[in-house]
Amino acid sequence: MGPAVMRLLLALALTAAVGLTPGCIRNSARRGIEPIWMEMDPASFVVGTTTRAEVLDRVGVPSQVLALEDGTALYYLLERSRADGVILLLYNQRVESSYFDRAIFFFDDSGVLTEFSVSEGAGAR
Amino acid sequence: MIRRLPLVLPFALAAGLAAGLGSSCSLVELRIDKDLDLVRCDSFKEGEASLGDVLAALGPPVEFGARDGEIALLYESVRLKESQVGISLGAVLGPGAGDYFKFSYGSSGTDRKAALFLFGEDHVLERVNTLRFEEPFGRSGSIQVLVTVDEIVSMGGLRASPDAFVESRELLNGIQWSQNLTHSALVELRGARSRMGQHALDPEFSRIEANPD
Repeated sequence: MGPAVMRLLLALALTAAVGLTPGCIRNSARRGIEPIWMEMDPASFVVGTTTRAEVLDRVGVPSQVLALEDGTALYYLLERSRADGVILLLYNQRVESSYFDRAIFFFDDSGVLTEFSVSEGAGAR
Repeated sequence: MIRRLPLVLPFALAAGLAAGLGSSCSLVELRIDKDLDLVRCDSFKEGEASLGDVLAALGPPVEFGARDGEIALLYESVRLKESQVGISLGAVLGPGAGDYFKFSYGSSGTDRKAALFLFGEDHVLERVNTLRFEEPFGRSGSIQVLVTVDEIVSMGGLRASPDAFVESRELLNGIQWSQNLTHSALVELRGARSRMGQHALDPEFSRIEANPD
């Protein structure tokens, strides 16, 4: 095999290598309100003591308000989505994940906290 | 050094490049929310567990609703996988602009989990329903740019905005609701098609939807 053939084969190999070089995909998005509640210690909300006004002052305007028969509920939501992928031409892959930071607070008709829950990880940020 | 290169390697790489331009396979995955533990959901005892127990164990729900003192919490997670096979248009039609496009055929399958908790006026669990369905989601074909890695089968319903992002949701309060997940007026699975008819039951909501300004 002559040097010219070898150079041709090497050129083909390099071209193939470039063609097979991975391309990457990554994007992310956030939608909702600033998750202030995730930075707070859940223990700072006390059932029977904390009031609706205090929650509104500390956490801010909720994503959703629901009028209950004997009170109100405030619902806070942030959606975080992220997509990662790789392009190899022969095989391509993309994984998109959406996760949510949530908080929900229930108040009685006098505006006192009766139940609440925040997403896992709250207070650890 | 060049003389020592085995012939197999460059030929394999060249063949790989040619094959790559001729066809490609793609896998697209969609994951919505953390995987729901249905065993844990079923472990709550009706008539005993409280609203606080469920909230403490599972966290805030995906959706919630209330009617006549009763409260409904809905938890849900979605996993969807779409497998695609693509053929370069250039490989089919001959060299040209088609080299940069491919015809892709994809099929999707879902693994969806949901749990609905219904609480009475005393905030004690009256009923818990869980469901899991693993089923084909759909099949479709599309012409795409060669390097595109995107779903072909429509996932529009699953990607629907959480209702907390939708204004006037509370106006649905006036509609009677049932324990049927797919016909619930206040909480709905992603992709549920019942909303249109239910909205039509509420003239005020329909009017606002028709005139969002």
